[in-house]
Amino acid sequence: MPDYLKSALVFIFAGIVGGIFLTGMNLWAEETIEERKLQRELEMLEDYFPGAAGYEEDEVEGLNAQLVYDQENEFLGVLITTRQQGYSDYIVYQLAVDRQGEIVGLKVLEHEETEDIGGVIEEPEFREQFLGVSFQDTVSEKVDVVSGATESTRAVIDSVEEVMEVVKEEYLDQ
Amino acid sequence: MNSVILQDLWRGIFQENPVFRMFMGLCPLLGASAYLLSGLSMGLIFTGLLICCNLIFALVQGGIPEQVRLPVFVIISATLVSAVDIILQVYYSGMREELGIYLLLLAVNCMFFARLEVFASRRPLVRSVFALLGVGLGFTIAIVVLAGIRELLGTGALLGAEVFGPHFEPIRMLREAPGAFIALGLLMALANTVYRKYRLLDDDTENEAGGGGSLWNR
Repeated sequence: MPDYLKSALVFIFAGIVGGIFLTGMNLWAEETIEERKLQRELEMLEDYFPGAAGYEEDEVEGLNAQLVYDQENEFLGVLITTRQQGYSDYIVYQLAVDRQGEIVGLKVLEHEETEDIGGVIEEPEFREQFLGVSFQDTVSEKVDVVSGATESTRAVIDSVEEVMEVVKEEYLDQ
Repeated sequence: MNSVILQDLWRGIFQENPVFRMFMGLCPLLGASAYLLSGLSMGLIFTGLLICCNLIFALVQGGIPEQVRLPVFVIISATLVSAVDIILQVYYSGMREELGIYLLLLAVNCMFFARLEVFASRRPLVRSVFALLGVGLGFTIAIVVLAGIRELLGTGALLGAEVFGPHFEPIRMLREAPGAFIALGLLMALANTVYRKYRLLDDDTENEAGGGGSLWNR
């Protein structure tokens, strides 16, 4: 057998063995990993929608949406994860809207705003203003911009307003 | 215990420490050293992987033609790293997120290749395992020290427990990448002072590395 053939065979064989080994590992771990992921997601969803038992992923107009259902498969609401350009970088946040079209939660996941200024978007005082705001309201009328942190808070407010439009059209019209 | 073996072990930890003397493995070192626990985990995983790679390589190397030795070795290390990744996802998923991409990058870490090409494929198994254990421990010590400093000064806490009390102002930069470089630089300066004391730096006169030969040279 020529040298190059032997080399090629050894290489291919190594690849196959490695592949089989990893496939086995994956089969073994898959279930646990999936389960854990579901568990984590549900725990997170429970914060907004008590009784959440399952969810469905969806994507509309660049928004990441999770449609949340309870044990009887009743639609509870939708959790949107999205990002918006803030003062210094993107602000990543979650917005939870229940089936009546009211905001039940807003959480900032990541931001690079100035800690003591734009950082207010993380504070409950700012976030709680959103609670109870309905899709019939205009978000910017219900929630106040924080003076000194206009750009950061304005960014969140405007973005929520846009998201609410989408949510209304996509999920609440039934 | 054979004294050559112990010598190899000690050489990896001190005289030829992969980080402070060889400047190898800096990618996982800088990437995973923001917190003490992640640093320690990275160090131990690194050590384990080095030794496992070496054992498997020692078992199969007789059948591998010279031309494909390195590619086959990449397959072995990539397979093992992926396996560790899966195991971490199952048993320790928090740490897996902490280590992030740096864990997977171990698959192509220069130290793995340097060590196996240069050393493992040319020495008896037991010796190479202990030499790699030394290198792994040397790396672990380096990353634990760096991560300890970064966590302590960067957050004012160690392993999540507050050390300095509420009046301490943490140096936030240390938690970010630039801080990692600066801390490592200072640590290396300190290490160099120690090495100079033992006359081990390259520009010192003849160092005493003779004996079994360097871990890094053929």
